[in-house]
Amino acid sequence: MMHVSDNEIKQLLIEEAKRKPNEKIFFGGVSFTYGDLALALEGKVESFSGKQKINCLNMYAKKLIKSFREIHARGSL
Amino acid sequence: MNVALVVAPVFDDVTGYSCDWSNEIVDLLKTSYNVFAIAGREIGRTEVEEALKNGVNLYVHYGHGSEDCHWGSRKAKVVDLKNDVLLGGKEVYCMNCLSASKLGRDAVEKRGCIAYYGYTDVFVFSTDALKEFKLFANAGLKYRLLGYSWKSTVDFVKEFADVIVEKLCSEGKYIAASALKHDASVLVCWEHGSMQKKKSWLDIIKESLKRIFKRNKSVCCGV
Repeated sequence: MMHVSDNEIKQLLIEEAKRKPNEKIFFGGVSFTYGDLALALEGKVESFSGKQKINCLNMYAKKLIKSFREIHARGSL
Repeated sequence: MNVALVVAPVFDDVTGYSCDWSNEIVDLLKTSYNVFAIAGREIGRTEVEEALKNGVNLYVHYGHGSEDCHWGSRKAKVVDLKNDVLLGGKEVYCMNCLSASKLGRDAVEKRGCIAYYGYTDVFVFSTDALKEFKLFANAGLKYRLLGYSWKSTVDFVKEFADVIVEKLCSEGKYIAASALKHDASVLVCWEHGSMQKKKSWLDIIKESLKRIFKRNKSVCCGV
């Protein structure tokens, strides 16, 4: 199977998030727009305020990348 | 006839979705259970406690959860470690965050809960695939109502999740696919005898040291 780097995964997720910035993702009770998520994945989270929210989004962005890697490893892509 | 209690509060956007998803479950349960539903509003602890005392065999919670509780509103914990004795002798089906990690373990290990189906981490979902997340969230009870054991139910739901993930990927919905994959990976059903003991810090350190020694040995031996 072709190796995919975290950066390539990020890029795929960023492209999708930018295509539909108004969709929302809920991590439990915390919600972000796909636009927010794109910023987090690009490392531009300082663009919106709230340190707790930034840490939270960064943590969840990592979880998504990890899950995406599992999907890729399973050959679903 | 067996009795099912469905608790699905509404007090924010997320609970709006989860309550909506629970409606299908209420209809399905009616084929096999006398169903008592408390749903669509903020729900208090006392009313859930009273309802749980009325011969309930299956307790279902859709909404917000934390490691140690199920929420009925922003302030009310309807079930937590202080009243989880009420889950004794019952099967529990949750579509909430985290509650399988502590509350579920406690209920099964110490309170005689028969089975606790839920998630050990946050439940993630996105608005571009609501139909698929609902399918996944409700799948467990559907398998269970078909007569499968809880263990088989979890296995089937995880396999079903992989099918949904593939479908989402084929539609280019990679974010939703990743979220659903995450949810499936943190889905568990605790039953007596099925729980792995939580590792202590000492055990984790011991295992890490063993791995390091093993690796060093391999390096020394040129393996």
